[in-house]
Amino acid sequence: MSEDLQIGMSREEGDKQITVMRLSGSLDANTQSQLENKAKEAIDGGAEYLFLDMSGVDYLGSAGMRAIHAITNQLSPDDPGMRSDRLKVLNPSPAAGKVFKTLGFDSFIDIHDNVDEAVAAL
Amino acid sequence: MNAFLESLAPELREAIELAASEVCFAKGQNVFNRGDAGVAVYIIEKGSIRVHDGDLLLNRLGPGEVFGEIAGLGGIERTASVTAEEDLELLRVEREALYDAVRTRPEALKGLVSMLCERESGIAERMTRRSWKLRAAEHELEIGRRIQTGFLPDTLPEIPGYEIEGHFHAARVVAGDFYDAFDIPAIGRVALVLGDVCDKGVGAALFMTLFRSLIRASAQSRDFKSWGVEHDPAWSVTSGEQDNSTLANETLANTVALTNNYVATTHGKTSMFASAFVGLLDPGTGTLNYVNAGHEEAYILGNDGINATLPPTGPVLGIFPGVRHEMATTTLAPGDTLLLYSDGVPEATSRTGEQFSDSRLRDLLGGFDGSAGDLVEMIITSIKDFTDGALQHDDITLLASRRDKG
Repeated sequence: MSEDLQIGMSREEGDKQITVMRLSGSLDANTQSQLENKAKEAIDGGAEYLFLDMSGVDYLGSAGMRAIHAITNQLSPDDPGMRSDRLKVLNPSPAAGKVFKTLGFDSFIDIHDNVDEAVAAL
Repeated sequence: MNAFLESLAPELREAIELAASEVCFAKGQNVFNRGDAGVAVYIIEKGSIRVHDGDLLLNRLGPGEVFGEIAGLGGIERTASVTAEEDLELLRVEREALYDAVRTRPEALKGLVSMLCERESGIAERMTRRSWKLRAAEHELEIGRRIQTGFLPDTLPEIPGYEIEGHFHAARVVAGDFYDAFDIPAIGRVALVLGDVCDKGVGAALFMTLFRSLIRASAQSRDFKSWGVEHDPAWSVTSGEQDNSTLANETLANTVALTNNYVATTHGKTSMFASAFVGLLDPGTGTLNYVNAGHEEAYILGNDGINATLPPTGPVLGIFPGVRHEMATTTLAPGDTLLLYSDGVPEATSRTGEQFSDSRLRDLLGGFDGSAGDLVEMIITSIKDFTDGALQHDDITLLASRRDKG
């Protein structure tokens, strides 16, 4: 199990300002601030929607989920805690998918198989 | 001439000027990296630098200040990295050139030793101040740990026909896990609770005290409306048979809704949440009404191993205001044990990086038939054997409640 987190960023072409963040490695108490900082950079740079590709996440801890919730708050500052329309999760690894389901985040954050499906759902 | 050179004895200044050459670095360029061989000392003429170890900033220095003397004069590896914070002009003084210049100037050598001793005295002074600060912080943390321990029950309720055993071991000084067990005489139930606040350390510990207190206080309250927090009083029993535990379900629904909505509306912006299993046990019948809010599945163990698993019935508490948690019902038959645990159990990690895992836990529980105390002891011993002294990453918390065989 990797103890580091790698984050690759790319922008989607189209009308909407979408940034895809590809995460791989471990999203936990040690790496959550990396994700929050990169997401903030993207939001400050004009991103309105963030897609988190979590296919490469081999460990997802509760601190990582806290970071994801904090990012949904940043994307929709006037609507804290409610269902997120601006953050989508793509293709989570089995380990990450299990944590989403156990903690009940799957009822509040949409999970899609790929970018096209997530764009179509906006 | 810069302030540093001006402050030196004339012979030493002369020796340094002889040995020095001017070098420039652009903003963002590294002057040297931790681990590089040290061959020179630097004096800043213009610009400023960051002394750092990776992301950790150790110092910032500007014009007239000296850096790199420890490895530069000692001929050892650089102990930190230095990066130009803005465009830099430096005097670079090579060790060998400086020694050549000092050789014929005895007063310069004295001056050099004296300068180094003065700088070392400054470093020692800073270290001492930091050590005092660190000791004060450790003392505060220890007070926090003692206060937090008071948020775990001193004693567990003594219920005729039942045995209850808890265990808690923090990964750090303070923790986000908690367990609780207490009587609710008004409805003839015993509450069995285990929670896990997200993240680790002081932030998690502060929220642990909040969640635990809210659950305990609201479960004891009969006057939910006076809490003044919006909540949905409706509830529904979704699994198990309908029973006469209306009061228990009402208490359960209100406890979970009040705790969730209070934290979500008051502290929602912190994104701090807790998973929790909240069960209300009727000791007479063994009926257990429960909500599993985003927590690990709990187990009911019988003579033949795991009789039932109790998976989540709703999301975690504290970030989704107004969410409805479904309630469920199960029964502790004579000889059955309810086992609640935090994710620190399956995620306990060995020296080789392998996790204890859900499947290893289930295998362990398979043939168990003993007291609640023995069960907790067996799990803790297995984890200790498995991790073999490896660093504990997460809090480990257990609560077991066994009904006598009767």
